[in-house]
Amino acid sequence: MMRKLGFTLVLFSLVSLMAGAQDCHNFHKRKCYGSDNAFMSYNTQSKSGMFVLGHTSDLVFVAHSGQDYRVSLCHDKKVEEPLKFQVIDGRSKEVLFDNESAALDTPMEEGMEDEDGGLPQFFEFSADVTKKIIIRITAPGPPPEEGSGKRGRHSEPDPEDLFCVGVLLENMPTPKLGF
Amino acid sequence: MLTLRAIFLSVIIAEQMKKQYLTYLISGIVTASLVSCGGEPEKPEIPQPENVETLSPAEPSQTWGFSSEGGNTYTVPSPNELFSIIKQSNLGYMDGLISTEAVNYSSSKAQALNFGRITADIAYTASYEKFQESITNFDNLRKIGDDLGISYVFDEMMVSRVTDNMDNPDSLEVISTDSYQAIIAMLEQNEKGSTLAIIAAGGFVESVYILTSLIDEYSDDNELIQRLADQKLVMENVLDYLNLYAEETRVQEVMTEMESVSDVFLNLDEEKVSADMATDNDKVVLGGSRILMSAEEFNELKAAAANYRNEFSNPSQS
Repeated sequence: MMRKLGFTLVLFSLVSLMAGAQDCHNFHKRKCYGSDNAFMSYNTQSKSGMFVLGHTSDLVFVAHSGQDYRVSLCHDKKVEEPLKFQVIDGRSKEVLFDNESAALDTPMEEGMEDEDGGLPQFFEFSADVTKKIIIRITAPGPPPEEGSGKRGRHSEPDPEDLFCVGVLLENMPTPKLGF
Repeated sequence: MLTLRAIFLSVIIAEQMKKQYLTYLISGIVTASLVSCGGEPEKPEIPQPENVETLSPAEPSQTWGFSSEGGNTYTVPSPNELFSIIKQSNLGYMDGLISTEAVNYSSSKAQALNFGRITADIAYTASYEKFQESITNFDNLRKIGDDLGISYVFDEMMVSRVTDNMDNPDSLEVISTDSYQAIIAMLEQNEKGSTLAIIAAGGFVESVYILTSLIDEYSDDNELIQRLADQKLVMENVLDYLNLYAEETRVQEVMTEMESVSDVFLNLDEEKVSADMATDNDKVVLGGSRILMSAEEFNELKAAAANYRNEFSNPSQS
């Protein structure tokens, strides 16, 4: 009886760990650093998701004209390499911002902390017209392949390869300059 | 396979414990692990609605990414965001535009649509500091939430915060926005994706109904006409969001029913007015196309939005 109970408790702990370890709910609220600007407020189009190494996923949101926006990214610390992300025009599909290109354009200052591998993890813009914006995020690592998980199924990646990514969106009315 | 394994685990554990409340607890935990592990059955390939642009990179079979269904996700701005912008236009509040009457809806589709409708109504009344209407509709929202089986989204802290602070003009709008955020977050956490998509559709149609009613008459130089035309992009996201769950009959019905509204939006012309991206004093400015709306299109949209919201808000017709 005691052995059965012990076995049960081990199973119980494993199931609890599975539930807790992969809960990305509200990750962006807990982990993403937002703007220092007190006028910026949380936008409900913010989102978190569970990623697997090498995976690419899009978040499509609407930015209203006359508003300033900040897009901030964050991810689990267990993934050492930084996230790559692009900001894409929802209509023309033109890449408006690429954090890899931005990192190359802006050499890192001496002594600057390299926590995100020098890749900017945020983007700020002012919307002149109402626009559909695509945030395309690519997790580091090779793209996931069919049957690459330990269980041999594409839909069941290795638990160690899963981690949370958050996109925090903030906005405020565009300040009017001059008199 | 994962589902069977998890059910098997829950049965073994529950049998061992021989306590009913523990059975519930363990089933809950197993369910949570199932949900977070992507235990949902894979979805069949879904046809995209006409005129709505789609994205290519994420394969439909993936069970990770921003959506619980895998792959890409489409977000819909909260009604609060739209009404906070409209408020800046100094447009007056219109009495009798929305109802605060408590109504029972029998189908989950009607309940979700009207849950969305009332969130938009609260955003509207809160932006105009209408305390009584906001409180009454918050109560109506809770009742529909109970019917819809999502009463857990209203925790005690939220309810007491709403009822205790509703008479404070400074906090009314903030509470309305915070409550909306909390409700959406809870629904997302509980994997109520299709319900949330229908709620977003109901809230969107109600927002369009309110905005078209407030504008009253079309004029070329009315900034609010431009705001209304801009909602074409939100309409596209609503359709893409619904389309993620298009295998559900109630979602298909909503997409069909709202065609009179979506067709007007999707047929609006666009004209390029500025570069997609420019810089101004080191600030990135994103431009592009302006969406155009004629008087005829405005009137057609106004009638379509009013017809559809009157239809689903009327319990005898929904």
